[in-house]
Amino acid sequence: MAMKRYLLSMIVALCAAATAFAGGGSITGRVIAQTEGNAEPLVGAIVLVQGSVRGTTTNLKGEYKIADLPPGKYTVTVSMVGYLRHSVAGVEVEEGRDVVANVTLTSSPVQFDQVVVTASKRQQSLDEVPVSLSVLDAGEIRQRNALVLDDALRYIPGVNMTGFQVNIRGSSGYSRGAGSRVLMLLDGIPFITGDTGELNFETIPIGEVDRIEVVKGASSALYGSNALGGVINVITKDISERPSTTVRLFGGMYNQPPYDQWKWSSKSRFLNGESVSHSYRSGDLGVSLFLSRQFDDGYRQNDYRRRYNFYVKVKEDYAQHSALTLTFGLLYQYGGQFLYWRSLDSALVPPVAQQDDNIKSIRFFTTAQYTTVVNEAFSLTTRAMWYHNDWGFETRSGIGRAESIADDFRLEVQGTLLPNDMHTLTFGVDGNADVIGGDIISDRVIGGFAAFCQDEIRLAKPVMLTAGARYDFSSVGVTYPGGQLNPKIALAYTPFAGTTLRTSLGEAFRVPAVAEAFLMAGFSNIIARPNPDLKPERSWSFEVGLAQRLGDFGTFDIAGFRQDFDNLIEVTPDIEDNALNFQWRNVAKARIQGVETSVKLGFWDGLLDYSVGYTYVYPEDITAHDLLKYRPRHIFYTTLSSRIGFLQPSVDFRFISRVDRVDDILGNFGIIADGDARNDIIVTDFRLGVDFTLGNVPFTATASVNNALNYNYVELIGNMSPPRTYMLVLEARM
Amino acid sequence: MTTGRSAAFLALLLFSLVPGCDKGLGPIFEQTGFSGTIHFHHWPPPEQVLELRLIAFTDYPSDSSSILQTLLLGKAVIYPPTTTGVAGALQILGNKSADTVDYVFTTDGTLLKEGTYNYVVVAWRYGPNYFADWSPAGVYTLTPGTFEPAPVIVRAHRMKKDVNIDVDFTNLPPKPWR
Repeated sequence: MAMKRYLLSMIVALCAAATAFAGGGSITGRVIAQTEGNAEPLVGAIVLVQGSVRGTTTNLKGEYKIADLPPGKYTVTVSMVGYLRHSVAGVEVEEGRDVVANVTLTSSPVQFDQVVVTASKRQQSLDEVPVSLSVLDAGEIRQRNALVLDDALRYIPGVNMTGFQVNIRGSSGYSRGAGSRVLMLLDGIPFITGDTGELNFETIPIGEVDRIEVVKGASSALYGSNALGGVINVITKDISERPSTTVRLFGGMYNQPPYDQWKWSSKSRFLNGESVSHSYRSGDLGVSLFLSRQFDDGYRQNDYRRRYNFYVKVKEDYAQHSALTLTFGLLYQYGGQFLYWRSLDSALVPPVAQQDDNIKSIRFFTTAQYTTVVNEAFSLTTRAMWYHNDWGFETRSGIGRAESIADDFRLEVQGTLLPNDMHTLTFGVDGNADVIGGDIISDRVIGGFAAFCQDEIRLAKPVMLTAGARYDFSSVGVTYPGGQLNPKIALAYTPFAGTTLRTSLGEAFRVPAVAEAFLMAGFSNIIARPNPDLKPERSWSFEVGLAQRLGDFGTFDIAGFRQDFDNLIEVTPDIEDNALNFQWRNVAKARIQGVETSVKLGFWDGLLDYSVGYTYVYPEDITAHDLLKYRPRHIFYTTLSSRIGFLQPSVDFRFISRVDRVDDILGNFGIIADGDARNDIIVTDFRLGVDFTLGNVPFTATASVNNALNYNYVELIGNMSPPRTYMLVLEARM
Repeated sequence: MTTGRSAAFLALLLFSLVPGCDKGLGPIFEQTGFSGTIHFHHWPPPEQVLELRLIAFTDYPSDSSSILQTLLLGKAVIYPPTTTGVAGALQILGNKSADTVDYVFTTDGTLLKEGTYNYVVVAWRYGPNYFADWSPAGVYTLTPGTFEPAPVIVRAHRMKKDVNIDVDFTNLPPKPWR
């Protein structure tokens, strides 16, 4: 009976919400920052009306206006990166009148209560989130001179990279580029290749990234397949209120190999590139453009890259109630293919048979997102994407090309409904279709559809219960098309301001990528064999955590987690006909459990910032009574940065313990000579940024030394990681 | 604020000293070559053992008479090298009575090179004719009880171990040479 009443009230609320705006009053105001006695308007501050779906950002003068609000009392919350969040309660809106709510924000070296969008597919404060979530903002990405997105991900607690594959809390090992247990989103839309099911970081225009939100743990209840280990949401910059142009030049050089045996070229190896971005707004229409070129000689033989990115974003606001955003991104990349070393003595040279292998990729995507705020309690967002991937192997002279072409089409309609003060409903439907062709994977069309619903229930002021589920129907060719229901329940309890206890339990799944089921390819004496009987893998994920604010100078977070996998898909190598055969198989029941803690501290108003994160993971293959392959057990990151006048020195240090298990057969069979050579990863990066002005144009020059101690390590079997690398970046903002 | 700046610099300095000085992975500094143990059985009278050498052939020698030519062409290498005299070689390989002897055949001071040696034998000179009185006494094989030769791959900076050879003077490999 209670459930029937609940559903009835939701339906009534939804019908009521469908009523369009009809008059009402407005809240207007100005947001300023109080710095050293001066009041400066803040541009781009996020203004949200609590208990509604309404919100906006401040304009060039720091002003905002939220119109057509029904009469009543509201709480306005203003937040911005680098400032403490501020709320104004009891703002009384009357019919046909403007009420003023001005806000002054105070700067903060540590980001508290950040606004995030990934945990519940809507804007909410980080302290309301019942799962572990890390944010890396544009400033941190720029400061680290990340050229590709995965460079930036290497500094998020609990995240480590195995080559180009991302691993969150031990969920992923290494699957040779096919399939991912982490789902990447681009502005909320799944951004995963249709053929290999991998995350392609190079296509993302890194200069246009505003922030990266990383949800750790199973998230299929909202996002569906692939969100087993977590979700990475790459959020691009909004179009700026004032015309802005950023020009960025970089140049760098790899250190000479430290051993004579490793020297393979008499020339120094360089990397260089430039990017230009421009953003302008005319009335309700805004456009931003991004162009970049990156050339990398590579520190290894036949590991060079030539990469070009283009990105355009167009946004039109229709009054305050709706907006249409269109994007287009293009990547053209050409480079050598370095699969593995010849031996540890020739660690920077590939086997002779691979010295002439190249990969050429042409990838593009286009997205459309239309958001409309129907009324203060109901908003609707429609998202669509076409993601085209064309990549292939060929010899340097361009002959013998074998390619894979995949087109991924996606459409999602999502609603957010606040029927009353107690509930926030997020619901929607989505579908996708992948059309795959080429020589590497045979032609096929796959797809699926899904429906999801989540309710965030404010049980009492300090307690928020989140419950939801998603049903996915999906197919991979002829392989077990079927449905998956993934429920989730989570609780966030805030007994005191600045203290949040959280716990969550959810189920997740991953449909095998097409490549995992149908890839049939041979490279040298390595053969990938198809397995059309591959079944989806599933997991249950549990987490309990505490987020604690440490006065005005820091935050502390600790979480314990456990994930139980069934039908885990792993690459299984064996020897047949004197060749090494790879096949993806449902091999194991597995359990991954561990603990993660992080601390962020800021002293003397930015003079010294310190952050540290440690993750312990125990990845157990229950079937084999052994540890899972390619999972490190200890991940430790720490960063120290400072701002002393115009100087910004900083140091990053990361330690990732030696992975306990790899595919020993690769080394034993002689496919990868010295394939068992691996060690702890110990990397230290130094940077020094300098701010200066030339002819009224502000510049930032950053010199960095990555892997400053020139430590030789492997993230991936048979692949030596970059040596000490010197970089100089010059950025002008006009 | 001065205290703060000093603390910031100090913290940065201390932080940079956290990592150790280990350089991580590096080439394996082994000698290039192969090594193993020669097991001797049923030694003949000492006067019949005039010389013992380990010879690694890239290809199978067809007969005794071609061995010199093979050596001159660099298609076979000898251990101990010829610069080590007959007595010295015997000291190294067997001393006419040892049950076992360990050997290490490297590129240092020999003509051994990177490559594949398809026939590795202990060669025995039993008579005064330096060019004719040779016989294989033991062959490196992976099939016990046979004389089926097994290849030895010599890789740069790698010491292939366990290239063990049985020498039974009462059960010699077929002659000529295979």
